[in-house]
Amino acid sequence: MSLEIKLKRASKIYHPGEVLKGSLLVETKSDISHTGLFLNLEGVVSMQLSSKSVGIFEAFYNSVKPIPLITVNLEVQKAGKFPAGVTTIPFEFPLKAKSTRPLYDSYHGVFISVQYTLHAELRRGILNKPLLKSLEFIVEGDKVAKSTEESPIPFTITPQSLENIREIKSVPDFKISGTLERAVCDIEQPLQGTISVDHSAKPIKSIELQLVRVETCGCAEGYAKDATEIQNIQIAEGDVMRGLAIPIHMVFPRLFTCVTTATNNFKIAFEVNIVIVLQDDHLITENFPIKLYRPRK
Amino acid sequence: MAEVRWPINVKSYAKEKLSHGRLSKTKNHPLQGVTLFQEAGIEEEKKQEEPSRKMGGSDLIISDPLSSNPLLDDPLSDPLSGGSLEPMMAFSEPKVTSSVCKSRRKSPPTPTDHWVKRRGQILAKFTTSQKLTLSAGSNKNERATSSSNLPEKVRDRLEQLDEIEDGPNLSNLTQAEYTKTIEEMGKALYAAWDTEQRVKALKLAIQLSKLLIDTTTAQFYPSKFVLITDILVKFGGLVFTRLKDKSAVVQGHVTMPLRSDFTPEDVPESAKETASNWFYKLASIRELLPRLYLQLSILKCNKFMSLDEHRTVLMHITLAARGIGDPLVANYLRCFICRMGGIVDPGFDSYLHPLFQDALFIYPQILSKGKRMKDMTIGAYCITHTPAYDWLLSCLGQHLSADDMEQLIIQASEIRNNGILLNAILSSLPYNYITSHVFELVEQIVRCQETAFPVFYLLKNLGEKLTNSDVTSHSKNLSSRDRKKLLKVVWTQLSTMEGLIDEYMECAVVWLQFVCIEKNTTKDLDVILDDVIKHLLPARTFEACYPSLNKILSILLASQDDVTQLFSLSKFLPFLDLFQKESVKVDACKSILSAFRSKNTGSTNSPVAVSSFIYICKTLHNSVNALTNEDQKRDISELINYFIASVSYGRDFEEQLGFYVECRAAFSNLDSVLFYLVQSVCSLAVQTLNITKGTHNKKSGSFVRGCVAYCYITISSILCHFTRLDLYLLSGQVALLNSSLVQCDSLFKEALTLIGEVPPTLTGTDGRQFSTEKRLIDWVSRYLASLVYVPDNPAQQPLHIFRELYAAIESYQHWSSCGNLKVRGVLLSYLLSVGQPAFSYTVQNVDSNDKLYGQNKKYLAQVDELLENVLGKILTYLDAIDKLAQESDNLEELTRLAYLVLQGLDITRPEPYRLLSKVAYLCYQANRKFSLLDDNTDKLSVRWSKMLPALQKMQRDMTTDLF
Repeated sequence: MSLEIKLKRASKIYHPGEVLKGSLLVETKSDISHTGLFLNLEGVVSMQLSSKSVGIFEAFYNSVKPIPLITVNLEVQKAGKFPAGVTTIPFEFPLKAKSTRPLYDSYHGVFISVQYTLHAELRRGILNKPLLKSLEFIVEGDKVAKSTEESPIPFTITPQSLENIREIKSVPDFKISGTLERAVCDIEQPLQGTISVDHSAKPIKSIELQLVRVETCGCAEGYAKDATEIQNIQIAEGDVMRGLAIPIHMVFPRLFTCVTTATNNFKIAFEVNIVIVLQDDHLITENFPIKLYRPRK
Repeated sequence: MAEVRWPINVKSYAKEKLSHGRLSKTKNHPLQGVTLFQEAGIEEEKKQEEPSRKMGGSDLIISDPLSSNPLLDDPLSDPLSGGSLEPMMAFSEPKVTSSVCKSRRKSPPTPTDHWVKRRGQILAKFTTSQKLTLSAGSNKNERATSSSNLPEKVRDRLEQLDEIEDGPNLSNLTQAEYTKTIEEMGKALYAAWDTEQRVKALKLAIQLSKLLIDTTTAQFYPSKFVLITDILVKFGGLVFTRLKDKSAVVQGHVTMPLRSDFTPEDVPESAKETASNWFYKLASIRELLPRLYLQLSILKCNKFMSLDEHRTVLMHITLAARGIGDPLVANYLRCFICRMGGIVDPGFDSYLHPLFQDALFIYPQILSKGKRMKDMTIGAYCITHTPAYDWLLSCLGQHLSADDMEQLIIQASEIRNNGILLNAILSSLPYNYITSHVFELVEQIVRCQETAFPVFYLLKNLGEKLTNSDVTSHSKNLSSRDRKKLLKVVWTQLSTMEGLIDEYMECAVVWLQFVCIEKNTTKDLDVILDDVIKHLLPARTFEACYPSLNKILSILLASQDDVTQLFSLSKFLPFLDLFQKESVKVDACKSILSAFRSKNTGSTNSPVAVSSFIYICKTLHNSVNALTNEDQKRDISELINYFIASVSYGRDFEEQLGFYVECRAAFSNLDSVLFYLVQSVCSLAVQTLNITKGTHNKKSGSFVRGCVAYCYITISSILCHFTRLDLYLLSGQVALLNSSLVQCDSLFKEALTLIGEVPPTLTGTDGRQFSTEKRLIDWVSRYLASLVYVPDNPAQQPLHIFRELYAAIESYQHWSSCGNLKVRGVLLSYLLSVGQPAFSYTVQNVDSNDKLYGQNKKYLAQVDELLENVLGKILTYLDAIDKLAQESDNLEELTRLAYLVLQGLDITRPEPYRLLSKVAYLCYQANRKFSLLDDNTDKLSVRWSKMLPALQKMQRDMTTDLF
């Protein structure tokens, strides 16, 4: 005997205002009686403080409560019986925010996550355990107008442009230049740009793109801000040809990225680091804050 | 004078012949395939056979090929019958070649075919003897730092995962071991896929492509690339098939598979979702190289998402390849881009040009990297790049117009050190293009002299391109004048190459081939051979070049329709002298002779060719020593025999005999050659007889005697007893036919001295011992059959040769019980024949004993005495076997004996009658023991049925007499 939730869309991606359609499948070998089949939709922002901030915010710790975004409960079937075989019960939910808060993008982060889940429960009296099943689906938030900030961002990295170095003489000479196509990025399109090594005294080992999330939890009383790596994509391997424009290209991973979000209680922002690793394992890093959004097509 | 105790029944041979039924001539040789003689063969055979039939006794000359020397293995290769094979071979050969040509032209090669060809070349060429290290490029330190802010537990787990991901780290592998490891990883990948472990399969694919980052053993890199991309392509195929299976639409109970020419609209959402999962997964692979390789391997899967997504991906990867710093890795990645692009969308070419331009842009990197290589020269390093550039350019070349190519050459000439590029142009652009620009290209090649890239490699490739056998008939070939001019320019380059003898030889091979395409280029060939000799001889460098020398030889052999033409080259024999190592020289000689045989150009008598061939054959002959095994000996003998057979001086028989004499002197150690020589001389003698129409004049008579004398001398130096016996018999027969009675007499006698030496057993080709008795008896029987016609020497006692034979047989130690009986049966037959008043055949110009003695009483008494003697022996022997266990073999002999007695002797007389009774009694007893109806005695029943009336009568008598 089993309980299953099936959504009509294979991608499981929905947008606010849409109707979530699907069906519950109850499969049983013999007739069974039950005390009710319930379906519950829940969208929630959950937060967790990083271990290093616990000391400071110990008092504050307990107050980080999940923020509900949407809750719908439904009794799909009153107490009764299911016949042997597969019973399919279709359902529909309108996806509508319950409060003033909009439905944020689904997001799986380290300290913050936005999750939308369907829970189905088949109760079978006091003696039997209820049959539970849950399924996460993905919400992509409202689309906004196309950003006008389309201008490319040129950059040049030289020993002089570096910030935290003690002695500039110890740094080998190099010049690395390039452009990032834009800082306001469509989340569905890859991050693009070019980079070229104009000259470098030391051979280069690798050039990498590091995608970093900056998560901020808190409120008026205080906050915790943490930056963690999402992924690291190598764009150059070995001592590349000088003066050859190497493409910067990174696909934003699904679920681990979302539209850049800032609210009273939490913030989710993203940054890109261009990391140049020299043969002697010295790192040169250039940081670019980026804004992710979802433009109308 | 005593009464004749054993009167002989007089036979009427003429009547007997009639009773045997009519003989008709056969048209088929029983050992040859039915098809062989169907057409021209029959005519040919008839012509050959008729004269010999007319000759009456000449049938005797040709000893039965089946019972003759075992060393001459194939009776069909016997030159006596060989002549009739030739026309057949001559017209079957062109057929074969023409059909081959047809099938070659049938399908124009596709890019994939090209790849398969190159793939093999790369694997064969890029090998290493260095130790290899298989490491999947672990980046543990970096990972640790990047994940340092993760909780301890998570990090531990991640590291554990890393260990699996990194795969085996093996060092000190030989190339074979390394290849095996790669293959095993491939197998593990397929196995993981088959067991639904997609993630594991993906991980293995990533590991494999990571191996391509390592370029420490550059000379093996191209092969490594081939091995690994093979697996990746297959992996991509697996992913594609899986997505396609997922796209099958289920309608009720029927599953509709996706059309093969599907569009993205046909693909259900769920399959698209799976496909996009794959793309997201691959896009997040950390390292650049595996990411690009895997994205390429599943390039075709983009078709599930949109119609031309793959084009965007190709363009993107083309640019992303710039991120690879090592030029070797980058260029092979580019090669793979072209390959996958060609497979998925052959018509799309936008990415090819930037790809090639990038490859040109990083050209200086190759040179600077090459200079820094520790364990290889810059030239060798450049060569490891060539397959990648070749492939790039051949992909690009398909989409280039003539103007574009023009542009390319200009661009190539502008780059410094443009060797690799030139090489790619040579090997990848179309033949027509190369031929029309050949002089510009050669000029550029010459200018390469100073650069890193080895010039010889370019020259070799140019030569290879120009000699390419795939060239179709409508392609533009070089004119004869241009060829000469080109050859001159190129050869001037080559001949100045100092110290690079291997490379020089490689080029020499190719350009020799180039020269050989045209006919009548003996002068050029001579020049080249001369130059080769000049290069190789001074420092004895030829010792290192035997493979190339062999190649040159085989090209020379293949280029000439008639191998003997080669000897007209003044430098050919000096060239052969370069083969100084014994074994190599022998092989070279063998290949010359084999080529001569396979070309089958008919007979020759040019003195240069003959003496050269004798020299070559002699080399082969001298290579035979105690350690040479039988197979090699047979090969060599066969080749030499073929040569002997193909030398013909027409009607100049004396010259021919002179040649045979020379051969005998040269090839005295090979039994089969001597055997063949004796046969040839015998046939020469018989041909002489044919020409003189059976009666010799003084000159021809002495020539024939010379022939027989030749045989007499030659035979005694042969080792094998049976060969000698057979040949004595054969030449004796020839002497008899040619009325050379003295020689005949001595040859027949000479044979007898051998009988005592015949070993009782011999070792067969299968290594088992077999008894020689049957053969000996067989020989004795053939010998006696001929001896019947040999007239007695008047100075000696009648039948003195027979007496000697008889004595030899009596003193021969090794008769078995059955053999004893058999051999005496044969003797008996002989005596019964010589007692006849007229023999069944006559030899022209020879009076046999029937004429000689004319039933002389004294002679008949001698026969009778001998009969008495032989039969006496038989009787004592019969008495002995009376008591012995009777064998079924004996039964056959007894039957034969009874038949002989019944037929040949007058059994109304007491002595023969007694004998017959004895035999009949033994037969009767044997009959009771072994049923005559047994299968193996079936053939006897015919004989028995003839004797039955006589035996029945005897049986009646016997009941009174014996029982």
